[in-house]
Amino acid sequence: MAEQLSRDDAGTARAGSRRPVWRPPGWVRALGSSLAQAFVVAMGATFVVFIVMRLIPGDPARILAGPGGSVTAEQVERTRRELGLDQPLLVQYWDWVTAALRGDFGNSLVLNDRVSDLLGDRLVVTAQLSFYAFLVAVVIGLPASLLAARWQGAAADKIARLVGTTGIAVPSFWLALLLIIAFQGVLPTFGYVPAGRELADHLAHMFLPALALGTGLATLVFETNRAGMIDTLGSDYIRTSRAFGVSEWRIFSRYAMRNAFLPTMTIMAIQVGTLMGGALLVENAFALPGMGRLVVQGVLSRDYPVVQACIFVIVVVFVVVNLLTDLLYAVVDPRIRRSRA
Amino acid sequence: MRDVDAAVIAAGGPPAPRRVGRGSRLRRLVGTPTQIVVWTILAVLVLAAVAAPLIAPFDPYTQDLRNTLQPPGSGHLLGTDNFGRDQFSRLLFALRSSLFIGVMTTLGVAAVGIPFGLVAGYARGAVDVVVSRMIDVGLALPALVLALGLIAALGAGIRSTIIALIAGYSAYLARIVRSVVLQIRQEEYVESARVTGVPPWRIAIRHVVPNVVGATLVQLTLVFAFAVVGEAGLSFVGLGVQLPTASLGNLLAEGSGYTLQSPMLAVAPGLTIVILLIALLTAGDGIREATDPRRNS
Repeated sequence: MAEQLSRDDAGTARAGSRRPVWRPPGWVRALGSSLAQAFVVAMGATFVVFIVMRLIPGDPARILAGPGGSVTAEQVERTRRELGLDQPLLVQYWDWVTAALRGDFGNSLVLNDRVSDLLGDRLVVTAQLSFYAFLVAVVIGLPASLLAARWQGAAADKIARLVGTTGIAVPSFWLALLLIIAFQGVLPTFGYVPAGRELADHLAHMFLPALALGTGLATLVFETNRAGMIDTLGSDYIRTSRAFGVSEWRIFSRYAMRNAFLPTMTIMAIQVGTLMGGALLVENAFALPGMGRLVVQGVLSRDYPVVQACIFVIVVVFVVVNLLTDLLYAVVDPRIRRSRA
Repeated sequence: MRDVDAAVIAAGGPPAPRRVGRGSRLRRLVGTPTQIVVWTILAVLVLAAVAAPLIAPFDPYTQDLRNTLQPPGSGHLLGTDNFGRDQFSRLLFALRSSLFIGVMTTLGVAAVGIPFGLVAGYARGAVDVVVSRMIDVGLALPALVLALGLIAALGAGIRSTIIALIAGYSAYLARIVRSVVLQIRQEEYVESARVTGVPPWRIAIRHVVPNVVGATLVQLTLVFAFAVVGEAGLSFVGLGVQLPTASLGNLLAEGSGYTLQSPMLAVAPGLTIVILLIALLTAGDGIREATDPRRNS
């Protein structure tokens, strides 16, 4: 496209009449390439999931047709046709993805229920837990990083590195157990209360799980944002601003924070998938009725529509969040927004 | 189960390219007090795991139902579990399985991730695009989540855990190796070598490979750490190593049922994981420092 335009450009120039050629502004091109990449990644990842699920031994048509030896070969064949399992693999994949995007994940092989019905409420719990964990990460990680960037020095560096290493080294599900040991009898350590019923009780039940899940991400936010702040504060334009007498507060809050936050945002977006994966484990520690229980049961009983649906949801959330981050980046970063090449 | 960029940050940013240096790397590697402590811890843990059958005071699988959930001390260093089994002995054997899974996963990730990363970094055009997109797809599937899917297909167990973790972390290593190769290709000395007519294979052997090895070693210590946590996470929910075989994750899972009566059952294996991980990450830092070009001159 760009090549085409520039060739036209050369052509008109030779013809003598210089008409301005429209080129999409930077953010439109950024949007286009982000969308295209997100699409490719989403298709690829869901295809991998689809293929992996096909590796599960056993014939789904036979399992779904009915229990044990009571089914005839004809019934199995009919089920196979009904489910489209006699179609080529790529057709099956396409049918599955398009149905999944409409919220139709088929029927569970074990629980005798529609997968979308099984997912419904559990997805809400997992989403809430992930969201609160994110809040924990931002509320702890960001202010701490700003303080650390304000007071730089050898000791601060050492502490920051220690915090970062510990953040990776302490698994969320073990932190969950420690919190349960420490707060038994003080705060609720198991079970779930819907937000609509009793908000205070809901938050009390989610507090420890969110802390367990969010602390690791908080250390990551701390590390990234601190590094970004220190980097920006040492750059030329900050020195120039200082020389021009811009107030220290304004430099810190307006210039440095805004620039440092972009990479932090990207890292947080990349962590969304990992966070949801961790949520599955933390839910198990706190007996929260989220997707974690469902997916573990699904894996153990080889209930592929259930496992497939859970992974699909996580992949789609990951891709969408990262796409939105890309777009936000394109809008916020003037270098991308205004670039025309 | 933190991955990718967490790891890059933990390792102190993207790996620095390095020139082939001389001098005692080993001395630089364990030159600081921190590194001496860290490598000692790693050596002790590895020795304990290897010699577990020799040094364990009790058989880790023998039940003693009259002495269940004993507190630490009382003839059992870390107490006993809900079946009266000696927790310290179980911890030694757990370390053995977890380290075995860590080593096998790391080797597997290296075998898959390095070739893919090299090809993506070295090739141009369609090959680069295809391999890079494959890496992107791998990164969009969180390691634990992909592992869950594979375990559904393969069935739970040590072998499946290793395969699932290799699949989960290979894309991560491939991406890092690719970026190191790209970085080195742009170095001036590589550029001038190319311009003066040094054949590509010679550039690869002389410049690219040595640099990639240094950076990759650092990342492999991280992969090892991820594998240990990954095993623990999968086993914690019953999808990794199957009972009664002891692994760090299994011990956590069993201990999670007795947080009130015997918190030590959940604390000890978790603490072992954390010590092992901090040692691995700090050792990775040390390797990075030792292979840093700025310290070569």
